[in-house]
Amino acid sequence: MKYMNVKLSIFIISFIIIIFNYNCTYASISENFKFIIDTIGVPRYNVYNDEINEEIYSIYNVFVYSNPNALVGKISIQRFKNVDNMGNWTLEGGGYKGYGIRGEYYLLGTNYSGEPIHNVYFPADYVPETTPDKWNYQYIQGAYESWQDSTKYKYIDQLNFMKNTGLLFDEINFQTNTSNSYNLIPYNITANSIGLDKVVLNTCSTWKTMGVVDIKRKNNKGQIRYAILATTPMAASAQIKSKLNISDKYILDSDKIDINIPIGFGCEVINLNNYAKKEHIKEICSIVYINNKEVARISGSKTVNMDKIINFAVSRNEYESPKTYEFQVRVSSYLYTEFYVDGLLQNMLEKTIYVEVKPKKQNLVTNGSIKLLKQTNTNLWVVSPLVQTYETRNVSSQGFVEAGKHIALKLDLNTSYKDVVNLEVYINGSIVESKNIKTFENSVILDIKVPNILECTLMSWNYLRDKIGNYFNINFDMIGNRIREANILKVVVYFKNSSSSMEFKFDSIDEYNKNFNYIFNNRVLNFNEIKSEITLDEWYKI
Amino acid sequence: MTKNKYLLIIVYAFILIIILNLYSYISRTLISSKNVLRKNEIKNNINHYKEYIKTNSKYILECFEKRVVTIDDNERKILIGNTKKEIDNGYYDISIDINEEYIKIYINKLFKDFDSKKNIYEDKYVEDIVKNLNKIFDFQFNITDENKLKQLIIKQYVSIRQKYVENVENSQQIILKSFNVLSYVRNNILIIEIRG
Repeated sequence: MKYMNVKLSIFIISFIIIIFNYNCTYASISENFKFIIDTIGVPRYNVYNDEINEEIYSIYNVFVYSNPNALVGKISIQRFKNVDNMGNWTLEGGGYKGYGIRGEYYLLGTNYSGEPIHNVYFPADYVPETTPDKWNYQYIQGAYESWQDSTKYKYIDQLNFMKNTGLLFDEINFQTNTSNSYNLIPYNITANSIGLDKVVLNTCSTWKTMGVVDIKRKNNKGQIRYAILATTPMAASAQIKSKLNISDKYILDSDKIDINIPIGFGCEVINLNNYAKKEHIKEICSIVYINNKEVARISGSKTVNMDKIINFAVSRNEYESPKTYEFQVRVSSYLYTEFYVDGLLQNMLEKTIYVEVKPKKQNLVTNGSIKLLKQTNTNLWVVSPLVQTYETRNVSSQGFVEAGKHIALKLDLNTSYKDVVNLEVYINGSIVESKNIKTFENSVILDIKVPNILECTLMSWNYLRDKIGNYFNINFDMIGNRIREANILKVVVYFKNSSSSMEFKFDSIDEYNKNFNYIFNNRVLNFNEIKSEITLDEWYKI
Repeated sequence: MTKNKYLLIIVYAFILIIILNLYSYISRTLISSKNVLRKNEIKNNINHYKEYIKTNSKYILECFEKRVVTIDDNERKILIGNTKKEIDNGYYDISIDINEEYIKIYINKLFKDFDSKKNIYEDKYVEDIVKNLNKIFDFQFNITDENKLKQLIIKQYVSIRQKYVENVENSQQIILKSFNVLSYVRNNILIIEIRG
């Protein structure tokens, strides 16, 4: 048993060590940095399987593999210089964090092919005796040709910038005999003013990285010295700005199932200039997230402005409970240029919006129907279906009724009739008189008189006679044809705290006594049904 | 008599000048036509390679399976790498440039598995690249040529891919049946130059 425990312990410890080693080896760059290099297209490992150094990128803004300390003893030129107040790095450590010996390494690491990359902040070994504008520049073989080498730039704008922009060099303090490589300042000289045959074009400026030129000079003792001069980035202040256009608050009303929230999003690039142009933009992209979930994106190339509007639907199916919901809306935008060394320009905009979901309106009127209402000789109310024809059925009308007749409207409620406060009936928007003729526990039947003046929706004999002007030329086949849209009968039922409404379509012709000899029965679809009359109690039970 | 003598000398000198100018003109014309002829030959070869690459691009892609291959007809380049974006940024494994006088093969990495984090040299990768070059350009290497070229690449590649070797023995040359092959290292990249 004891032996088993020892075996188990060894297994667990080994497992932990393996996991720990795995994490240490392969999880050394952050997810954000991985996103940057994957998006731009920079390999994570170089030819020596050294990983790209995120810390160096964040401090020096260059893509470098391995680290300065790893090169000590392996590359002979690697060395460290102490820089007390400004050094970015720590001896035998990483970026300076407030402790350790502060300074700079000569090499930052290597490039993809394994070549060493120099540190521009490494302090100069010799402090110049005069400022660069007074130097005695010397002719360099191949210097002029270097400006003709088209592999050194991607766009002619870069070359023009390098020729005409002010060259920078360390700030020199002649009293202390020191030069400050952390503060590169202009000395009112350009490559053109020095002469292109005396300045070697090394690296061109990009939007975000400095350019480098090499020069040769003779000092006051006649000694030859070499120096590196820099140029500012072409558009150091260029930025991408996200755009988000959305209100703070929305309401999903009681009678609505969902609400569409329009979201305007996109991005724009600012602070470009004559040298840094939109043509240099390789990809520009804006992504909108709602509660951290991507919902839409827009991307393009060689453009400085992008906009898109989407609709975000908030539905009761998803947000059922009546309350105010919070949504985090985030627009993340990024841009990278044709100069991959610029890295990724990123910007993010976030806003919290509130959607108040009102309680769902309960429809207290569950059902309703209309019939023709008559009163028998014994004063008994009876009902029969309205007359249906092809014309009425085609527009979902309940049928037609003659003006002046009475319609019975039965409403079924899912509450007691006692809860009803008031009832209003409208025909084509005008309120009409109605009378409660029968109530049940959960139902009510109303008597509604169709106004005598209600216009015909279907052609009648009388209508055709009036239209033609005589009754000799009436085309009887036209009786029953549609004149206009069916009437709308609307009932609004008021309860204590709410109201419900219901609508019915029906057609109308003019009064019976105007058409007494010419009722149309040859187009009737429910000829047998209209003859069957039932009482209100019987209707209630149906 | 003296007067005639001077006149004769002047006439001879004049004839001599004409002969010399004529010779110079004929020489220049001959050299020029020779140059034109040679340039046309090279141009034809380049056009042949370009046309071959164009018509066999699918085949070339198959040669470097599991890698991204971009063929730039105008630039006369075949670039093999990890992703299109990386290649666009200059991060390639192998680049084959067709020049007017030679074909240059730039080798950064000699392994082809997409997910491989190891840079362990293996014979089969060299074998692949040599065979693929032979197929793509129809060099018609025999087995001896193939072996010579493989050994050259292996020796140089292994030497520069041992960590941080600063001084690499540069520029080696081998003679194959129809080609001269020069190998050297620039910026830590192995370059194989094949000349006709």
